[in-house]
Amino acid sequence: MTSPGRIDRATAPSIGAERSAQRSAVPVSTVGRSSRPRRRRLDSAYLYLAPAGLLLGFVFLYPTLQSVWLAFQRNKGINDPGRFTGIDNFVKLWNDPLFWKITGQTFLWTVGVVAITTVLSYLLALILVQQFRGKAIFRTLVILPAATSLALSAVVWGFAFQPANLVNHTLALFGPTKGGIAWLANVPQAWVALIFVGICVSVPLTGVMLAAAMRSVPRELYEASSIDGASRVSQTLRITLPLTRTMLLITTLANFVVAFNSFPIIFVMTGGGPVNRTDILATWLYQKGFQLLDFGMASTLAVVVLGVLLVLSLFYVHLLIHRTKVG
Amino acid sequence: MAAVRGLPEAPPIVLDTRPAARPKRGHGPGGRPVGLSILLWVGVVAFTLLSVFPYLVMLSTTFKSGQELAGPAHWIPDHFDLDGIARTLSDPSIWGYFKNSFYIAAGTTLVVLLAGIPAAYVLARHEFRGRKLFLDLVLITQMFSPVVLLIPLFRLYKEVGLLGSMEGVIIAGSAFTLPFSIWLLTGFFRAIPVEIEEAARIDGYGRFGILVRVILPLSIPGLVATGMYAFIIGWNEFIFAVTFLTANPANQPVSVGVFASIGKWDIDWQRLMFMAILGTAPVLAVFAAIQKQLDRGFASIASGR
Repeated sequence: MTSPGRIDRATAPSIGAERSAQRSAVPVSTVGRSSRPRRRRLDSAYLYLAPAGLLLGFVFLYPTLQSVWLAFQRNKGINDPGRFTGIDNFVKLWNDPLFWKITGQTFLWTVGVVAITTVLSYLLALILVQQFRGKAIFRTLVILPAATSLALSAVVWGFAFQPANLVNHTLALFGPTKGGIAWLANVPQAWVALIFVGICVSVPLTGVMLAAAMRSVPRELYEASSIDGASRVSQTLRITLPLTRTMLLITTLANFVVAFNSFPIIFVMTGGGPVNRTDILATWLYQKGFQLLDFGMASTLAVVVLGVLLVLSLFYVHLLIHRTKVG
Repeated sequence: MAAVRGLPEAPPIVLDTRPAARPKRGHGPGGRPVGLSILLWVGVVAFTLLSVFPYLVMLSTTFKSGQELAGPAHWIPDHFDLDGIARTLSDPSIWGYFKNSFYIAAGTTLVVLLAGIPAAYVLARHEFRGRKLFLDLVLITQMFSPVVLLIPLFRLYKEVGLLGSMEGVIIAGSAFTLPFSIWLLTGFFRAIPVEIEEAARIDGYGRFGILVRVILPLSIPGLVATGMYAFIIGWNEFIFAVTFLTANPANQPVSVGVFASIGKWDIDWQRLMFMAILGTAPVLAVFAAIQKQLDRGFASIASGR
């Protein structure tokens, strides 16, 4: 990570001097910047970051501050000037049994999706690093869900999960099912359906990333260990798994954040229903904000969601750095 | 590529010690036991079926008339009914949805590349104060969900007149696409040998000249891949579009159009599924085209650079 920068720092002054000496003789694209090499170096780095910085500031920084501001207000909708109520919103949220119920559901959903996705993706990655006939087609087919709009996938899955539709029909081909299961009409089966779809859309990319990590494990390790008589299974457990641990931790964290924040699947398939039983914090927040127009409470919820994620992620990143240093 | 930290790089000669006659399969040398072969194929079939299931649903439903759809479920349409396709293609509002999806996707691509290229370039090649801070801030934005920013963005957009406009969706969507794009681009720029840049510098090029005349021409595959990635995300944009464009159906993209029609009483699933096919096919083609470059990006993440 540091080597290009270091080379640059070491060589920049002399080259800079050389360059400005040359520039007076040969006018190349000067982009109208100061001719003092040191200052220009500093200024321009920030100039290059400016477009990205402005965009991120406009979309992330300012709205986050706004959210925090709104979280302490009673604010009912776009035309309400708002009134400060201190920590009232937070107290109300804390005392709301529905908040705790939905928080529980959020963790059920997140852990369910992430845990099963991780296991299945690892299996998929193990397949993706094998050679077999038709692999190119397999690779292409299996990655498709990663490129498909979540909203469209959710519409299609929601259709297929209707009681008299293709999911039940397909299940019936494999064995007798008692009538059609009304997948999305009630819990717990609605959670089974939602988590299933959540897994289907996150496995492809995770599998491809893990496969990339597996390919970067030096071949020689496998060759050496098979000379020592190690079986494929023990090679997988003793070589592949430890050496892909970093990527495994990265993808798990990424999937955790994505699932925790996930919106389109639940919003489209059940809308959080029946009566909030398939809501997670993200979909509940949307209802509060844009269906009940309670901007104050919704912002309070947004601040809580961000806080929880930040704490969990920092903890996880700490763990990750610690672990990989040891490993 | 020193892939794993702490492991000495093996001399390249090692590869030659493998018996030439043995086919190289999978990870280790040697053939695969029968048991593992069976497991492999079970896995291949299972993952394939799960992946293609939604597309099969789309295809199957597109060719079933409303009458047939009302009957018991089955996969193969009784008589391939093309009326849904005709109904979709003859509806002028469909083209509006597509034009909007394309505009939002192209706009996202443009914004992401214009903001991402210069940032990725200085991050890849230069050391400056605040570099790590910027990287940390970019990492933190990855924790955000669009949902938590919807309310303040909604208010902000109302204030500055972006509400209901596709540009507003492009701006918000680009910001969420930017971090991973910068990451991808940084990897591609790093892969260019520093010596080429040094040579250009000695030839009198400034930083901007080097970027435009040396780095960009050499990283066209990477730029195309990143652009296509941004295009896919823009094309699939849903949450900002559904929130900011509710009041302005004329600006809605395909994803919102499809979603809006499932709220209605009498849903024309046949037409809807064909719309879904039309809304999916272009990005699948784009995605298939950039698989290799994305893989390279992932590989650079995997090797911890």
